[in-house]
Amino acid sequence: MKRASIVGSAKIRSLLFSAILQIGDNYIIAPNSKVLATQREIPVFRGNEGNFASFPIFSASIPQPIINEHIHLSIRNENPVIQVDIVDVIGVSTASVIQIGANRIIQAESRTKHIRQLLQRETETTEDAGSAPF
Amino acid sequence: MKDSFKMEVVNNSLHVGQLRIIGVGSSSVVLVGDTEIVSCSSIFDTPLESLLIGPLVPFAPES
Repeated sequence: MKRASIVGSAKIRSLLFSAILQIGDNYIIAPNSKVLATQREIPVFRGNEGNFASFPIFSASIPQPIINEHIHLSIRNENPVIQVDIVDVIGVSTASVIQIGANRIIQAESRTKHIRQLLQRETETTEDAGSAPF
Repeated sequence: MKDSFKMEVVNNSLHVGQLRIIGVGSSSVVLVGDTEIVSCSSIFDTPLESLLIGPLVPFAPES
């Protein structure tokens, strides 16, 4: 017997970038997110900037575990309810999942390229740049 | 035939009072319930050369 999902109240401030909130059952959840995060000292951005093809991180293959176990799974639901009284979340982001309920497969993928663009400092000497702590 | 693994699950009661979470990010999962397969991948790249100091040059446009 399947179980019903019962949620008393859910309060979520933000749910963004391929994030998913699911109450109830489903078969597969496969959220996918590609982010080019750019910080500029002078925040001027052209509307059409950023080409995923020019950064290999967005096309690199991610090795996946090979799942070949043969499992005979039998589930008996004595109490056919999944109950959560209160859900209170501030943020869910970039291909994340919150689910109250059952699923078969979750396959999430997130790729983020973070670039900072700063202006050259007048006072900065090559010696200072050499001893910078990164 | 391959040896198979037998698993028997009895769900008596699943009742969560309160779930308070600050943040869930970068292909993470919070699940109250059952699943069979979960595979989460996340790549985050901020290498040394991603700190560009000099004139602010825009990136190549979208194709």
